[in-house]
Amino acid sequence: MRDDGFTPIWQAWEAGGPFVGDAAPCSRVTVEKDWWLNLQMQAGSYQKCPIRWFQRIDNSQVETEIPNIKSVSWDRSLDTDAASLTLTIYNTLMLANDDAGSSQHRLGKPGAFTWRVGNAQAVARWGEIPNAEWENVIVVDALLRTYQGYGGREKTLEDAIADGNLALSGVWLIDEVRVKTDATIEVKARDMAKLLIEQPIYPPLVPARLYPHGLRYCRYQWDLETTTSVELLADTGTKRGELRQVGASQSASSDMWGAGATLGHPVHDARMAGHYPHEAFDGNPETYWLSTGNDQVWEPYAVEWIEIASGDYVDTVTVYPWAGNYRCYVSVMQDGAWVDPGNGLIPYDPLTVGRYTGDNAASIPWVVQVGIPWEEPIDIHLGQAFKADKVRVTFTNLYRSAIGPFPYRAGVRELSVGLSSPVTDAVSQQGLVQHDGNYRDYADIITELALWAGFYAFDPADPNGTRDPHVYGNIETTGIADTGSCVTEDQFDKKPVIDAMHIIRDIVGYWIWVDEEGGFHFESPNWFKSGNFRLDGTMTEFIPDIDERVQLTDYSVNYADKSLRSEIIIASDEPTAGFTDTVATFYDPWSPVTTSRQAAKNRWGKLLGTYEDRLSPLRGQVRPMMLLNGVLTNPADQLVMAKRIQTHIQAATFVGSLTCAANPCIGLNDQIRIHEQITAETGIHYVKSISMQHDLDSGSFTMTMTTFRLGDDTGFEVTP
Amino acid sequence: MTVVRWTFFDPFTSDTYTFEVNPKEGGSRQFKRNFAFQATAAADGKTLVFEGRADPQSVDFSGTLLTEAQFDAFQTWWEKRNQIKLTDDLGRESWIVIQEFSAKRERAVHFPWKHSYSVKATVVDYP
Repeated sequence: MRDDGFTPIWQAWEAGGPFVGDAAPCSRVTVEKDWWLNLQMQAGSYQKCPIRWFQRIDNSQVETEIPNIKSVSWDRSLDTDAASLTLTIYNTLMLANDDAGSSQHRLGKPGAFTWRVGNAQAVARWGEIPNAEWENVIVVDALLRTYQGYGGREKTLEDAIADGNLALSGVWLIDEVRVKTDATIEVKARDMAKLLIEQPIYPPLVPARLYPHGLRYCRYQWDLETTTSVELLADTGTKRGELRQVGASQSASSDMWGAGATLGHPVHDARMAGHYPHEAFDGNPETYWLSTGNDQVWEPYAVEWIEIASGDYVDTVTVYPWAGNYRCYVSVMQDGAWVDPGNGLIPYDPLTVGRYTGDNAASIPWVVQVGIPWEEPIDIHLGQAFKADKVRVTFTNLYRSAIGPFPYRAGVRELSVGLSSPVTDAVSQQGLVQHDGNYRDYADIITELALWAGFYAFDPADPNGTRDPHVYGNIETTGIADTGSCVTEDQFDKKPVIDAMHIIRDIVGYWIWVDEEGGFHFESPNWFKSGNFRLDGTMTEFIPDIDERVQLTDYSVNYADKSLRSEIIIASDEPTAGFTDTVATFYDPWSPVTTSRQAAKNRWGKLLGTYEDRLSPLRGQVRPMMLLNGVLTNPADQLVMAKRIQTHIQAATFVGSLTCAANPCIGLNDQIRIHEQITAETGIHYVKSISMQHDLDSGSFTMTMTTFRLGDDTGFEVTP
Repeated sequence: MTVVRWTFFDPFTSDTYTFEVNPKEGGSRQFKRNFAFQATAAADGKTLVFEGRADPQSVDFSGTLLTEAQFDAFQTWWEKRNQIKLTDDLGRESWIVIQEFSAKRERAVHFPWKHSYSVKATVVDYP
């Protein structure tokens, strides 16, 4: 709908004429002689160039007006892929007597617009000279623009357009040119949708580097990736270890020396002067482990140790000493061997002379060496965590106790091991990871195809394409993508662009058309709410009235059941074939309940049996429609499609046809209101097709529209 | 009063033919517009009027030829395939193409070549 900027057209049309004088019908035609389907190699961050364009968004193309137009007629419909134009031109040029080329043998210049004139033989025979201005101009695939409206006949084309007398009614590419001896040229052309019909999806239309796998469109892609995660092997906390054993530096035969202790053989829990090793682990600082005694502190055998069994991660040893000031070594056994960080061995020489000889195996590698304070707990940090089988704490610089004849001893009130920092491990694993694919919305695919085909909106102010590309026209997002499967390349490969677009169109129920100004449109039908959309996608509440007293010359409405269906079935495969992975949606348009898969089978059975739905105009006839579509595997998408189909069925059931004075500002997808008495019509209709005829000789300028009724002021019958 | 004669002028040959006898009738340009009409659907609705192209202007004139030379001259000028300039006794000039020259012989004792004639011409330009 073009409601702004065409005041003379609307004024004349809404008044019903008279279409004379300054409001006389007018059709003018131009040819853009140097048009070319241009390549754009760069468009912002768009990665799939080259794309193509024919239209500069500032309309700065150079057009040459074709004179001598005899008639213009065109048809445009949402049910056909392209609009078609038939143009008749008087193929002669009247010359003034002093013009070069005027002849005493011929009136005017017959054949002036024929693409091929003026070779040597022609000059010899007819005295013609080459017609440089029109040679090779009206030829196949020349680009024409038709401007139509009321008034402006005496104005220049630019002024008539600027004044709103003329509206662009089509941008066309010539299919056929027929030059006839009756001094006319008949031109047949299609609108720019021809670019979508005649160009197949194959390189170089699709960049070769993207062919064919770049034509596979997936909402998501799953990549086999290696991921790294941190696994917690051990958490922090003090774990009180259990006594493993103690080492006896000397043999003992009594309580004073260690009952049960055997020199050179570690014991588990031998008593010493009334104290047991396990008392270092009982949580009671009042009790303690006391080592065997040594006669001198400096003797190399005066080395006592106690071990804790662990089996867990350990990085800290806590010692609460009895007495103190010991030199302490901490050793760790891991995987059955003492950890040897290279510090050397604990200094120890066994006593080999005398009664109390033996080796308590104290000479082992150590991890940490510290001094132990006097009667004060100390945390000994090992510097790292060990998965310790056991931990040994070895004491030297023993305390001179007053216990027994060998007084130098070590003692521990409490001993524990623990973990101050958690122990983790980086775990790598391979798996499928979901990422966004190469489209988010079906409209993205349409956009891409349109750009490749030639509908890039070229901005002469940005010839190098620093901005991301836009389609010349309007593409409405759908909010839909197939999340279940991909649109595969074989569905597009080598097909005309329009066929690929139809795959998407049929899923979402949108329309595809090229408007009067050559813009590409992918939009939902304008039948859910009263009002109209301008070519740029903005909305207006304006709905033109077509009145039986003012413009309407003929109207008929047809009510037919040919398209009606009792049930609409959308399925990924034949639902009765028994395949377990078939996804099917059964939609009853007359009692709109979508059933589950199992219930649908029941419903199907009911349809075959007693079908008593009284809402259907089919009155019980079983006329299902089934669409098998492997792309639609999502029940929600299937339901959307089923409802769209039903809407289109409704549209095909009540079809009106009207003829009225022509108005080039009314277009496809527009709403109009019809007032006609015989058909009792006052409702709002949707324009599905337009056929416009202008005989410039007689002046007859009419349009015939195919419509269907949307509703009236009380509401629309079509709901989204 | 001096009679002003009608003339034909051929721009290519620069020939001029001066009528010996001016036409008896006609000579003024004829103007015509074309209209298309369509009734609207309502019984009390208006009739749509569409203005088409105007027809080319035309000039008709008729008179009498008395001699063979006059007859041959008219035939010669009819045979020209280019525009010729017609100037009438009022000085009105039109570039014309003669569409039709019709002559009908009439009986006259002293003028065996007497014909009544009519010419229809299309105006294609103005000087």
